[in-house]
Amino acid sequence: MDYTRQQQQTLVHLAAHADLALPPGDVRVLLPWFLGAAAGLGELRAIDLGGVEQIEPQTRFSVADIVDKRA
Amino acid sequence: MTAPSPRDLTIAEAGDAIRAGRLSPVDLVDAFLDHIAAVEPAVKAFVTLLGEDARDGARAAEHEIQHGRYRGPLHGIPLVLKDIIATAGIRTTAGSRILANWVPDHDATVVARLAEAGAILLGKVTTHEFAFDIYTPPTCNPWDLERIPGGSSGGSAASVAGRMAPGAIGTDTGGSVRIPASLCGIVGLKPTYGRVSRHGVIPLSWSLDHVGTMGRTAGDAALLLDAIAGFDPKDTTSARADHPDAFEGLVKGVAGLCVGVPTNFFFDHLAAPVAARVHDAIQVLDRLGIRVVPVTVPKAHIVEIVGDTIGFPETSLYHRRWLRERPDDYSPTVRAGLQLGELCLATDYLQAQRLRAVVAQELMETLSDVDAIVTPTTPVVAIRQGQTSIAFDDGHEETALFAYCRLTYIANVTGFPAVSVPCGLDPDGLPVGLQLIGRPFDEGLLLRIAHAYQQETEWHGITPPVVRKADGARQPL
Repeated sequence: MDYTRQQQQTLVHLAAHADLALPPGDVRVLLPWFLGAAAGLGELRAIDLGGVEQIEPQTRFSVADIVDKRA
Repeated sequence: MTAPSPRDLTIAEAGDAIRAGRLSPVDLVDAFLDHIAAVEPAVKAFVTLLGEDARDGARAAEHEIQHGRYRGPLHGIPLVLKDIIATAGIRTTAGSRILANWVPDHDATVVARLAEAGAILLGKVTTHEFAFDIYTPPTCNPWDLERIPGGSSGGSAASVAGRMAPGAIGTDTGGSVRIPASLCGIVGLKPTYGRVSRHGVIPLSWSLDHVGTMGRTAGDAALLLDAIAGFDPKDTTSARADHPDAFEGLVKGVAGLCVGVPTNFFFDHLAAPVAARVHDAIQVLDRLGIRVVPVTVPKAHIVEIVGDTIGFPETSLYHRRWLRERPDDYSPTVRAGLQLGELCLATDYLQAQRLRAVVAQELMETLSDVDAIVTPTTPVVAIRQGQTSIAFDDGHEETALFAYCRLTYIANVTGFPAVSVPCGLDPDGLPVGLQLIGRPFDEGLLLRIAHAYQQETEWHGITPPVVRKADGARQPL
């Protein structure tokens, strides 16, 4: 697959915001991953879960919490 | 008739023989070391072989047992550990250049618990670099040396399948115990999140990582679980759940249990022999008196992106400093994955965490109607070394990593327990795995079903070609 100059520059700029230098070789390796994930992320973003008060993000994941809530 | 080598005994059989005084731990360790010398040059599973240390440990175990200090079924049993688990005074590399010379000053909790149970450390075995993929170079699959063992616990699976150890400990973040177990024809258990301490295990993704057990039988996986499970104050995610004796529970049988076969997602895009062997296995479960019913697993199709959106940033955070200071010490693909994790938006990470809760709640609903869900472990058998994508007969094409994690990842994203058990060979003689997914903290029930299945089938008793070759082709190849 050929990637546009804009796609490559977008990736490099995003990385720069994270203080992460991306050598040209890494950009070529990373782009298919990045764009593939971006496609999946589109689906993830499109799912409407309602307000945060309805489903909290579980930043400290625990299966025990799930079991406790059902008990 | 030649007596079987101690090398061919299961952990349970060897443990019984040691307890009864019929088998010396020293002879057992020597049998494995002799066999390792013959097979390891082909399989390449060991990073560090602890030959003399293992012999010393066996002599100490023998002395203790002879003097009435028998510790239990793992006393005198040699085991191997994935080289991502810290061992005091023994190099722990995580399969990486970054940690190529790291010698920890502490044992992981699982290592300490195995030592307490009297097990003997035979060696450290390969992992894919920082457990980040499924190839595990340079290790080869004992069923076909041209093929991958799977990963990332590839050395653990290959050493057990190659009869170089009776059991192993691995780790599983997207399927890394169950995938190599399936590809190498052994049993691999990923317990419930929180069941087994991860203290001292180098993290891949802390909310997806699990420590798991591997052996040739469900009984052996249960014995290992019994030794390492339980609350650990050193692991903040450790659960205070009771752990019923999984091994003792195997005899309860399976009559009256009910398993669900998904009608969505889990049987899409499968290699034909995998689908056939799994359907055969489901027939066996039916014959055992288990009720088999159709179920649906909502949102299964988004599990992989949910897991990646959580897993990549978590991994990248752990590696953040090294990625900037020593980027050239990572392989290009692992470095790319770490870079990708740094580019994930916080809102996406949090959306994935919310979806994870929904997936877990809905899976729990499905499991309120059945005792376990039955699926293939992997959609395809072991691929050739160097193969990076998989084309299925239905035209679907997928990156190898995503294909292998497709059916296993849900148990990591939800934290629910799952086990892979060998259920046949494809026409090329390569193993196929059956996966059972259960309710949280219900590992014992999954192992009961797997044990009952293995009592009815012979797949776990077939010896891989590399072992037969080493034995002088006493069995037809």
